[in-house]
Amino acid sequence: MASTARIAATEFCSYHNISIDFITALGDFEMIEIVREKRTLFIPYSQLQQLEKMVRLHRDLHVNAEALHTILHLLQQVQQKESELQQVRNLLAFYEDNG
Amino acid sequence: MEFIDYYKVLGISKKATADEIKKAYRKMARQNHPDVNPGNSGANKKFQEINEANEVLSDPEKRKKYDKYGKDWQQGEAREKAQQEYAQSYGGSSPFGGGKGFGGGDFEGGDFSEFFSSMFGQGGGRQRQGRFRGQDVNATFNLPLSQGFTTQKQTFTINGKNIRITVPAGMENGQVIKLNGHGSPGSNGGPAGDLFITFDMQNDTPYRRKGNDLYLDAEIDLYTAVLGGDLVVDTLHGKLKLKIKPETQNNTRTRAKGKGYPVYKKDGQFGDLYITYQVKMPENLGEKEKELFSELQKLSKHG
Repeated sequence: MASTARIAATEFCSYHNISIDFITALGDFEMIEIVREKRTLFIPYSQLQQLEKMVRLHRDLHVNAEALHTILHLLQQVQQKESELQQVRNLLAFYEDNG
Repeated sequence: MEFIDYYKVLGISKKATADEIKKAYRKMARQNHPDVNPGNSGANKKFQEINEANEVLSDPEKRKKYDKYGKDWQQGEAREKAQQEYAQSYGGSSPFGGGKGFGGGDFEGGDFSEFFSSMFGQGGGRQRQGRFRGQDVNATFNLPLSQGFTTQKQTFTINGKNIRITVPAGMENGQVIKLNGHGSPGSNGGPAGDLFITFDMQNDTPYRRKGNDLYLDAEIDLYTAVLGGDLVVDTLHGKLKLKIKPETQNNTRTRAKGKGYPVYKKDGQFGDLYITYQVKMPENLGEKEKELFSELQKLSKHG
């Protein structure tokens, strides 16, 4: 990975006014990818959008990393079910046209 | 511009304590947060409303002003203006009674209603330190099935900006395309949200679609079904000549490989076209025809 395609975790934390512990906790739960180089933590740019979503939930809803883990897992399940539902709807439309 | 009952928004009484307001706000924020309600624009709007209600009711000064004027806030605003003018002209206290102006802070107020901005001013929100990402925007695009057969450029107008995108052939009904950074602008220099376009495929063809496969009913007359022959059908790929075998039964299905709908983002790959023959019985038979059918019936080994 190119060194420019990431941001230092401390810089991200200061930008969003959050604690570095929150970021490390997300890393421990494998909810985001964190790169450790010597003693510095870096966040790949590819992780930023998902991480910012977690920061918003953390800050707006006062939920910790454990609760976030559960929320995101459930959201993923909802998304999967919605996709399945759409497929079933399309199939239903096909059979309704047949009728 | 309508009056907004902030107590009603948070589902609390006018006598609610600061703690009750906080509790109600947090409960509703958890239920309506845009990030836990993806694609639900109703929840987004509700979240803005409850944030605004919390902004007013959790701030003792703003709550006092809101409670004081209530539904008569417009008159209250005029009275306050008169107070300020009086104070400027004569100095000291005014005959209208106390009242403290609001303002200050540099929050842009973009997420607040017209009612809020009018009562508390554009600078009436608390100063926020964080930069906020803009809202995601959801849009639906009706795409005729015949057009979705080929890759094409489409122009969308979102937030007054024209966005030209390439829609690959083979979109599925309900499929969503995400355009990073084309949603609502962020506040305080935060990044813009994303634009999600859901494709609603409108079937303007005689085909029924199941995934990438297409299905078509083709009518053949009794004589072609019995004796065999040729049939030309229109497909999305052009005309297709089919050989009908003698003694073809009603509802016989044949497959035209690769004559179906394009496979999404797989250039040159197509589903199949299934053609079901519908044998059409002759109608309004003449005397001679009836005679010949009777003869055939007598000859028939199958009864």
